[in-house]
Amino acid sequence: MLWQVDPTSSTPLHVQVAACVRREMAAGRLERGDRLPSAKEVAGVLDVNLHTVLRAYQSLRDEGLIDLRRGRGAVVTATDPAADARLRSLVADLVAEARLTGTTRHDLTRLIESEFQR
Amino acid sequence: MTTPAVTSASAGADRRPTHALVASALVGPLLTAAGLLLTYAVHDRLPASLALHWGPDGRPDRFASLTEAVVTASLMTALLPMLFVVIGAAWHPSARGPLAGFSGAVAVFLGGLLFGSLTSQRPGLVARVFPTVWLVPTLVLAVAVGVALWRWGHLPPPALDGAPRHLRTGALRLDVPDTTRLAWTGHAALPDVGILLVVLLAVTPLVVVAVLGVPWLLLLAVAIAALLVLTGSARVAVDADGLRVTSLFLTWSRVPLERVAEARTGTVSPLREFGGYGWRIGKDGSRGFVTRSGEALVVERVGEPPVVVTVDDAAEAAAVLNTLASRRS
Repeated sequence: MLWQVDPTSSTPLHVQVAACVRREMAAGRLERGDRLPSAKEVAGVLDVNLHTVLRAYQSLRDEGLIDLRRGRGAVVTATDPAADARLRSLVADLVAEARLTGTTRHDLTRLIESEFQR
Repeated sequence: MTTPAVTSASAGADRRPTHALVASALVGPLLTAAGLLLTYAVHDRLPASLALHWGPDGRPDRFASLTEAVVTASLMTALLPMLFVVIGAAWHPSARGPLAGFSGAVAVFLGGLLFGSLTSQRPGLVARVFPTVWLVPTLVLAVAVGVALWRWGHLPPPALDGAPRHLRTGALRLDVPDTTRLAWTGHAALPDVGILLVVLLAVTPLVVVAVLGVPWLLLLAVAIAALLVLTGSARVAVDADGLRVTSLFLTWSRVPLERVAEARTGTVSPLREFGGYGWRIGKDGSRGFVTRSGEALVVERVGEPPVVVTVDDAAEAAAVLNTLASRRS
C-alpha cells in the first residue's frame, strides 16, 4: 500500500499516516481481515517516529476501523470509513453554502485547492 | 532512458563466479577419490555383499558386490553435482555463484551419504542408511562448502560512474511535490496449500528416517518446516533506501535507489521463467520472489539482471520506486 506524508504540511504527521490507511480502504484495496504493516515497519519506511504511527493506528482503532492486538498487529475490522461519510456530508453542506452565497464552482474549487496547499 | 551508467572496468571483468563454478565441479571427483581411498583402507573388513538400497522400513532391500557398490557411489558423487555445474555454465554469470554453492553442497552430501553407508557396513550387522556418525559431519560440511562456494562466486554489482541518470519519459511515476515522503509496502506470499505441499515434500523423507531410528531428525524436520513456512512469504518495501524483499531475518533482495534503472509492471509465469516458486534465479540471471502467476513488479537494475516480485498493485509500487529514484538524479 502507498504511504505518503508531507512534513512541510500543517496537517500533523499522524493524521496524514491515518489518512493513507483510510484512502486504501476507500479505494477497496484493504479488506476486512487484512493485516496492516507493523507500526515499526511504517515508521521505518516513512522515516517518522514510531509513536507517530502508533498514534495514527490508535485513532483508526478508535474509529472502529482496525483492531490492535499484541502479537497480531493491526487488523482491518471495517472498510466503510465513517470519515468518508462525514466528508460527503461536509461537502454537501459546503456546496449548499456556496449556492447560498453565489460562489461559483470555479471559485469554490480554487478555495479548496488553496486550502490543500496551506 | 539513458544507457545504464557503469564503468567498463567492472562490467563483466570479474571471473570469480566462473572460478567458483569450476571449483565446485572438482568437489565431487575429489570426494570420490577420498571415498575410494577410505574404501580401500577398510575393504578387508567389509561384508562380501553390501547394502546398496534401503526400503521404506529402513531395511536394505538391494545388495551388491564391493565393486558394484563402489562404482555406484563414485559415479553418483562425481557426476550428479555436474548437472548444476552444466546449468551454471549455460546461465548468466551472476547465477553461477549460487549454483556453484548448490553443486558443492550436493557433492558433499552424496559423498558422505554413499561412502559413509558403504564403509560403515560390517559382516553380521544390519546396514544403516546414513550412520549418525557420518550424518552430522556431512551436513555441516555440505553447508560450509555450499556457503563458501556461493560467497566466492558472488558477483559484486558493477561500480556506478556517478553520472546522473534520467528516467524514461513514459516510466510510471507519481505526481507529488518533492517534499512528500513516499513509501510503499506489500507482500508476496505462497498460497497456504502451496506452502503445505512444499513442507510435506521437504519434510516427509526426514520424518520417515526419524521414525525408522534417528529420532533427533524430527527436530531437524520441525526446524525445516518452520523455516519453509516463514520463508513462504516475503515483505516488500519501497522507500528512500530503494527496494527490499525480506522474510524474517533474511533479505532476499535489496536494490538501492541509485541502482534502479526503471521499475515497471510485468506478467510472470514462475514455472516457465524461474522453474518454480519462492526465491528463484532465472536463466538470464534475474532474481525473483515469485509466489503466483500474473502481475509482478519488475525492477530493472543498472548493469545487473532485473529483480521480479509478485505483488498486487505492482504499478503503484513501480511508480513510487521510479519517483524516488528520479529524485536522486
